[in-house]
Amino acid sequence: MHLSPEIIARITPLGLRANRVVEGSISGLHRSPLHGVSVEFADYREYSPGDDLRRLDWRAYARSNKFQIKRYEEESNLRATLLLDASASMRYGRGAMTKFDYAATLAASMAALLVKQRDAVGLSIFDEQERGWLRPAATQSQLAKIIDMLEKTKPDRKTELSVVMNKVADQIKSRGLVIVISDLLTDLDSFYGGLGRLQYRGHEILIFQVLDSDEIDMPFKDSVLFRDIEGGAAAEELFAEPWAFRKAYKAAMETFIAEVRGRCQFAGIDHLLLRTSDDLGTALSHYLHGRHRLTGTPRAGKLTGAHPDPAAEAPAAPTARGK
Amino acid sequence: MQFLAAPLLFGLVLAGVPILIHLLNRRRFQLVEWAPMKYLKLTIRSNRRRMRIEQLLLLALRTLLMVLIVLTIARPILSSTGVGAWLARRARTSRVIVLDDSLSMGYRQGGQTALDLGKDAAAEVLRGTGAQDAVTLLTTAPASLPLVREASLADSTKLISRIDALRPTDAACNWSAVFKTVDDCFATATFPQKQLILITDLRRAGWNNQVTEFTNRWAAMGVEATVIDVGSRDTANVSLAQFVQEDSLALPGAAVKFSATVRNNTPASIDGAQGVLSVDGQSRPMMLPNLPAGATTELPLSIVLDTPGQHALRLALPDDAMNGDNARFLSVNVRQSLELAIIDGRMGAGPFESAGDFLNVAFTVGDEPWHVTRMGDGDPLAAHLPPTDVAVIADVAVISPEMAAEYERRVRDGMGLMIFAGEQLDPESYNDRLFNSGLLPMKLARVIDGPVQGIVIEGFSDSPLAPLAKIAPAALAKISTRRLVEVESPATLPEGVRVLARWNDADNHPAIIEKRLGRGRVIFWTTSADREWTDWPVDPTYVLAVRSAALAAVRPDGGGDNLVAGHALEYRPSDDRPMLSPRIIPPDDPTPQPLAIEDSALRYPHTEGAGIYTLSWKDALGKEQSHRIAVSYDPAASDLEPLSESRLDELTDALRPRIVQYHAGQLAAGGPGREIWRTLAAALLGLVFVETLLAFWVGRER
Repeated sequence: MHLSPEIIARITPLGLRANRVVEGSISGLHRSPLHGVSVEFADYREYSPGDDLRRLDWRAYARSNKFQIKRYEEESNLRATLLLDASASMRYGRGAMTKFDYAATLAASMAALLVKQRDAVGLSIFDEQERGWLRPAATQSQLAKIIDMLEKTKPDRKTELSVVMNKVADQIKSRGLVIVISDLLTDLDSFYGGLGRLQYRGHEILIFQVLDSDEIDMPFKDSVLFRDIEGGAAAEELFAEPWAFRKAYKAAMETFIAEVRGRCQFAGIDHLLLRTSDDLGTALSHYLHGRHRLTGTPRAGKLTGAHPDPAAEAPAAPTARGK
Repeated sequence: MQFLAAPLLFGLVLAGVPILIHLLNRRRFQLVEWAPMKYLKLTIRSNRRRMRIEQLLLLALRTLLMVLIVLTIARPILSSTGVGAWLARRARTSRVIVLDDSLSMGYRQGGQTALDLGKDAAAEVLRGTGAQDAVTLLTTAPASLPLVREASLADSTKLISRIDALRPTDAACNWSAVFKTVDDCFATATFPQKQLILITDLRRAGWNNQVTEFTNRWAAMGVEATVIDVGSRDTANVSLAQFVQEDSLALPGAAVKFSATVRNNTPASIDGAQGVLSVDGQSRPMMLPNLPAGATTELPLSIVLDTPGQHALRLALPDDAMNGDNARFLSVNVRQSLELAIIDGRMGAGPFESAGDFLNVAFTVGDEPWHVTRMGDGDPLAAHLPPTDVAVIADVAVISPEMAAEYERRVRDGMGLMIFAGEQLDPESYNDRLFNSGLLPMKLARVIDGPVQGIVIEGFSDSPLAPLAKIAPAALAKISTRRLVEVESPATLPEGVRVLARWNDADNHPAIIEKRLGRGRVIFWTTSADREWTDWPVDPTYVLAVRSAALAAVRPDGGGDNLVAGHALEYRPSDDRPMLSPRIIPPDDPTPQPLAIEDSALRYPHTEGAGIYTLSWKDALGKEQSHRIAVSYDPAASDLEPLSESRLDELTDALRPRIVQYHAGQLAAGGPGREIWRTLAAALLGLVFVETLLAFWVGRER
């Protein structure tokens, strides 16, 4: 089971907000350039600067002395798509969880969070090509479908992210959030080329890079025969004594990670490096807290404490982004 | 390079252990399916060369460590030539090589003599000597003549050929004389760096404390010395230690006594061996007595030489491991006759009325050519004797000063003189003329009357009266004497004087007294030669007594005709007649070699080989003359007792030569020679330290 109640409990109060303007029928949690369509009333939420004043419920204000906005079923028009790497490289893991397990847990957690906040979430599982696709939906049954799909997936074959990026770009019609969960052990140029296409179409992209600690630290003390995990039957093998080049390897991996981070930063893409040894809940909550600070959005949940006055807080200036 | 524990070299296979461990380690690994292969390959590619060099260096070090361990415990020995010489050579060197070619180097074991091994060793040393060094090569016999001196050897082949031609000599090695020559070589050496190589069988003979002066001087000069030992320690040898003429005189047709001494230094007795006796080239076999193991056996011989003149004798034992000491040579001079002159103080008219009659009969009995000349004391010939071997003065009253002087000169020159007392003898006159001139052995006191019964012969082994000592004492007890001359016999006899016989009276008065004077001998009889004072002349022992005494008084022949090998030959003829075109024919070379006359004598120093050397020349009339000299091996050189290392160290003192044992074909070091395991052990420790550091360096995280 990839869904962890503890993780969900920790991240749900934080919520996941889109940083960019997204398309959707209802403007609510996520800013939308389109005005909303009359839909069924769902509940109230606190007023945020920028909300449509016509949706302000004066009666709720009279009752509570708080400005509240009426929310409707399809208020949240965030359409998030999870892109999960299920190539053979995600199979690695010496501890309790392989990278894929970790990534799948992450995907399930994000899906649960999004569904909880009534955002639509979809899933694309890929290796060298797309293996599975779930159109974004905000229903509870969508979560179950996502989890089922995750359970049935076994990491295999090579990684070819650029192909998937292009396909997903064609599949996602409206602007939304694309969350890539992968180790990114692929050709970065073609990968970022694909991401660029997504960005061009107005999608916001989050990248969760999942790596095993072994892959970063090379902790092996004895001689090792390294076999290419994505090599298949004719996998390349390399005999080496790790202690002789550990530092150099770690430097190379740090360079790789730094390159990924730098390119994401340049492209205005959020990037989070997750080690399979990291506690996912802690890592995610830290990340979501960070997102909230950046966007100026009041946070809710146990981690936040007192809610800041939305009238007093101006939205944080967007960080330099580019496509 | 040699190894004291060569079987341990099989341990060199352990040098493969580090390689094996390295290969086995590559089979021990964990298999990891790895995702970031790109970055792994990138890292390995950029570090591959460094890692490979480090691994190879470590592997090489560890292999070398194993090799060093095995070599160290196998105790390697650095040879004194080849690598050893190369290591030792720091500058151009003046190298003196001494090759012992004395008699003992002819000892054969395993098909090779010690000299054969010595020549091989010398050849090895010469081949290892570069053209930049100066080489002096000399043999020990003779010590004064180097084969080459301070020569630069571009090609050692010629010198090696000369060495190959060397044979063992019959001479002994006098190391002090050799070292004197070596010292002269070092004094005139070309280069300051000097090296001495002695190739010898290290026998005790020839070494004495006189060498220490030279060795200490060389040690102060920084001379490096090496002794290459080619001798075998397990020896067994039979030698003919002596072959001498016992009788001082050899006359034609008369049996001449000789004696031979055989020494059996083997662990087994020798029975039924046969020797060979050669007389003037004619050989005949001779059965030898039983020769007990470890013992010396005397062998008496009696040989009849029929003709007067020089005769060459050779006695040889059967061959053994060292043939050089199995034969000896003798040159025997057989006289034409024995010339005796009897000066009778009282010539009687009838037979046996004078002492001369009794003496003449005694001297002329038998077939031997004893030629007697009789004269009265008043005869002018008495004062100017013709060439005489023995003069006998019997009952002469007064000796004139001229006669005394002449006799003294002749005795000093080798003539024998026998003086008999008699009725006419005046002790005072004799003391004045003969004792004061040195002729009389003791001063005469007075004439005393007996009777005395019996005479006792003193037990000297070389006594002229030794034949009398073999007669039963009872026979000598019959000799009666009524009157005799008492002499003043000091408590300590002067040198050269001894009492040969004493009268059997209460005072044991000397009866016959001998004095050696110069090359001659005087024998004084204290009684008369006739029956005036004693009945001895009619006793059968009288003839034996006077003949034995006369023979003993004769100057022995041929003393200078028998030499020891290695001693210079010098021949001076008995007369002063000129020698024209003198030549010498050595025993091993039929080609006559010219000789120079030095101080009226012929000299020839190269007597290293035993045998008969023939001198020849022409006299004033152009007639060919010759003379033979017999040279026998030096008995000192036959002693195979080894010289211990401790004794060698004691003799060489500060020089401390390195001793190298030579085995066929290669030089090895033994004892305190060139073992290098300590050097290897130090190198091993250093390598362990380096390996540890390198292993730590290679194994650190990078």
